[in-house]
Amino acid sequence: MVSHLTQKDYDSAAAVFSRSFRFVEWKLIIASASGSLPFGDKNESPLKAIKNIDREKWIYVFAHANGETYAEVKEEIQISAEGKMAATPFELIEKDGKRSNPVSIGTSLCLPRRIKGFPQVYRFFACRVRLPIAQIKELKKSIATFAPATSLEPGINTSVVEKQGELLVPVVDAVTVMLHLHAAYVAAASDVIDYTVAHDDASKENPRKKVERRRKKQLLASILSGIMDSDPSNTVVQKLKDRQGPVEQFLTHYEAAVQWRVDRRDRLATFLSTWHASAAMKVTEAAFAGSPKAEWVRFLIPWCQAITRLGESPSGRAYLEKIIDDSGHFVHRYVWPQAKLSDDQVQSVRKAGMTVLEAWKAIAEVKILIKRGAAAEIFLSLQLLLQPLKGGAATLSEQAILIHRYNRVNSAIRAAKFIVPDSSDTIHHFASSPRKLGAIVESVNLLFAVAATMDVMKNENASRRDKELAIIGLIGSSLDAASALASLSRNADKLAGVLGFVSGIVDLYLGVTAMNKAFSDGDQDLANGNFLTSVGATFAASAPLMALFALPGGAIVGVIGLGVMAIGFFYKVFSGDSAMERFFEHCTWGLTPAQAGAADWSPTRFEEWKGDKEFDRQLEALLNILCRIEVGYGDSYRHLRYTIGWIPPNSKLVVVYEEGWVNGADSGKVTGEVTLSEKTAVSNKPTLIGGRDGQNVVTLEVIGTGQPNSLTKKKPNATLHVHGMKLPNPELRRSAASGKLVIMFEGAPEVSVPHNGWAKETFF
Amino acid sequence: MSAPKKLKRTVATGTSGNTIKQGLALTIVLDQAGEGDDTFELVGGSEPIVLGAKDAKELVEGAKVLRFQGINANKQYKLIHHRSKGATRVVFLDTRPQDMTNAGKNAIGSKNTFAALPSRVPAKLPDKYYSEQAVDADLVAKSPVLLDLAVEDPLL
Repeated sequence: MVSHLTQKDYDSAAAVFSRSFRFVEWKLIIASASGSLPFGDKNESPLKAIKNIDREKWIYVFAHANGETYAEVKEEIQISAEGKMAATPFELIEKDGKRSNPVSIGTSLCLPRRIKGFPQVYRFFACRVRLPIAQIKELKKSIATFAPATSLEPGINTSVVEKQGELLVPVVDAVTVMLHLHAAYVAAASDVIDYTVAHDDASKENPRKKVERRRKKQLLASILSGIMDSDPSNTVVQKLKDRQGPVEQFLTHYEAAVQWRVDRRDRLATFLSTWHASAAMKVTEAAFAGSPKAEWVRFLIPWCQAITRLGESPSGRAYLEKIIDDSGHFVHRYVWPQAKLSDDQVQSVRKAGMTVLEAWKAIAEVKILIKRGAAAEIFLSLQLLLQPLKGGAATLSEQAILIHRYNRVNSAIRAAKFIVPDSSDTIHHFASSPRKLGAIVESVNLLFAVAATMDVMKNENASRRDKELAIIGLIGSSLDAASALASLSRNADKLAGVLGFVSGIVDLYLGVTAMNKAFSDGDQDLANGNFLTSVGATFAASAPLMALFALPGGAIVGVIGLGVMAIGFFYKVFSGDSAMERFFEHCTWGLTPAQAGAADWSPTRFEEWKGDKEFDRQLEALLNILCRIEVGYGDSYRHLRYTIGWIPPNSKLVVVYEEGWVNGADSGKVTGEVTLSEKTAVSNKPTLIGGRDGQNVVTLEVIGTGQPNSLTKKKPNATLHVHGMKLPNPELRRSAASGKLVIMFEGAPEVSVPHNGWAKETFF
Repeated sequence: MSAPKKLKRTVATGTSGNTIKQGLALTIVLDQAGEGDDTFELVGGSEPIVLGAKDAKELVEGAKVLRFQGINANKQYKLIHHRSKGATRVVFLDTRPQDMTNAGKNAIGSKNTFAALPSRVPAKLPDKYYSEQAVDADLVAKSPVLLDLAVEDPLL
């Protein structure tokens, strides 16, 4: 709009009327008492920030003088999906019981932009039902806290939009804005997942292969950085082009790129949570509540959709906590009931279908993990919701399950588990929602498993080792959390949503004060690392979920940090190793990347360190240098000691021990797998008792039981000591052990060390 | 529409101290032609004066003016906007002509009332020493453009 009017024209006019315009809607708004703003993306047309009004609505026009916030209502306009408008006669807008049918005014209108010389500030509110008088009065006081100020003045004016010469004036429909803010938040939350996690449901911008390559490169850079930091002679850094700069820059930029996405997600979560709590939503809620009962679901359903996944962000969790604490909030009647539903509630829940269950899940997440709600309360609310959805048949049952026997004597973690035998579909309104009830129930079972573990973590009488074992138990072995997660992934349509849900739990889990306190007797990073390591150990084989814990908040830093610490330790022991110098020289950042050559620690020739497998091959070679294994024994041949240069998170040691005796019937062999965390070694065989001796040594005690598939009860060593060593049993003919380390990194194939077989040692 | 009356020229002082030459007319400015069917009724004189879009005269390019002739400075007037039969809106209530204008009131600032937020990670990011450097190609990936999202809003 271009203004050609002079000040004199304005001075002499009693009123100035705007051009004709048509109403549209804003999609996205930041609500703020100090000045609400519509928003969109940089470098995108503001035309994309608006949408046409696609259904019947009621538009309320408020105006106030510049500098004021109290606004008078000026118009009540009914608008159809086709844009036809009808206005309530002005004098009847606030006449309770006398509001006649509005009178047609066409498809466009103009409004006075100056009256008696005063510029008019407009605020537009739209609702899907006609507002009761009380809500119109409420808006007079509150509309300035959420509806952007709109000017109809010509000139540069971003409060309106112009399209091919047509003036478009956007209004604020609280439900429209809520759904768009939610979609924006979910897209940003999924972007964090998609950028950091290689998964099959990846986005176009982050195809799985690209994410895997990025993560492998980051992993390699992290390890190289750790080695350089712990090399006081600065030998290896000389083998890199431009020394450590490019590696460090890559790592800094990776963190910045992830953090940018996390900040965006959290900012949008704040916008959405603020909108949920705004006067716009309160007025809209009251308007629907004051309308005929059948109208309520038109508010309830989009509202339920718009709280899903809020648990992935701090401000979202804070908002959910707030409504849980507010006993008057409708969530306690329609989403989290604790008493038999009224007919009205039954109808609403039935019509809301899957959407109300999705909202229930969002509440359950906070209820279980933050508010520590009892299982009975959670069970009751779900049971009550399922009755109308399943035609009155109670389909849910509950049982307490043994999560994991986390020490060998008598301690166990118990958690509730809901069972829903019938996972048939129920009505859903949003294509993005999971279709199966099973996905909802399994989510909650996972929450119970996490909560049960948290309880152990908070137990001051539990030893640190117990806590470590409890964490491992959460995700390890046959725990239900793992099956819950697997089921969740199967039933969900969007894997990013599942990953986000889990990352939200972990974020919360790691951020709980009590948890921190529980860890205060030890190393926080270490504790986190243990958790993450064990998480990864279970999931890596079936799904790329390990990488979830690489999400900010933390965790890859923790895992990699641990690795780097260990590398530092290792490198001091092996410094001056020419293998490492050669690796640096030929790696991606080296002086001669992928130049022809070979070494026994690399399964591939250096010139093959490029293309799609560039980082797989380099990681495999580097791990074969770093994780070299030496096999030895302690007091007895059956007290095995595996010294490993570096024990990466998420690795396992495969071991074989064999004995030959004079009596062939006594000869035998034991094989097993030992899952390694920072401080523990847990064997999969009762006859192999794992342990750790410092950062680099895994100890294994082999028990001879005389049973089949076991060793003889005879001791392989005599009791006589010579030079501190026990002599071999005279009947023993042979004793030997071997081992190999199997390392799993997200997105990378398993790496075996040594790559060409086993590390072997014959003791006798 | 009634014929304009002959008026004496008078000078009046408005509430904000502005001096207003009275007697010829009160004006309403319409950006473009205004709505074709709309009429404006000035009530307060001996007879109401009704003007429609067809009565508007070109003021400057892109704006027209309606002149209500025959204004009496000693009377109070109210302006009513008729959009269609039965759809009326009072623009202002009874006001003395000399209080109808307030010279020098500025419009609200509307140049920056829309926030454009970045939708992708900058092509250059600070390194460890806060120096902006181009980002490695393996780290580059577009993030979703919020305004391109397909948002479900089912008709329930």
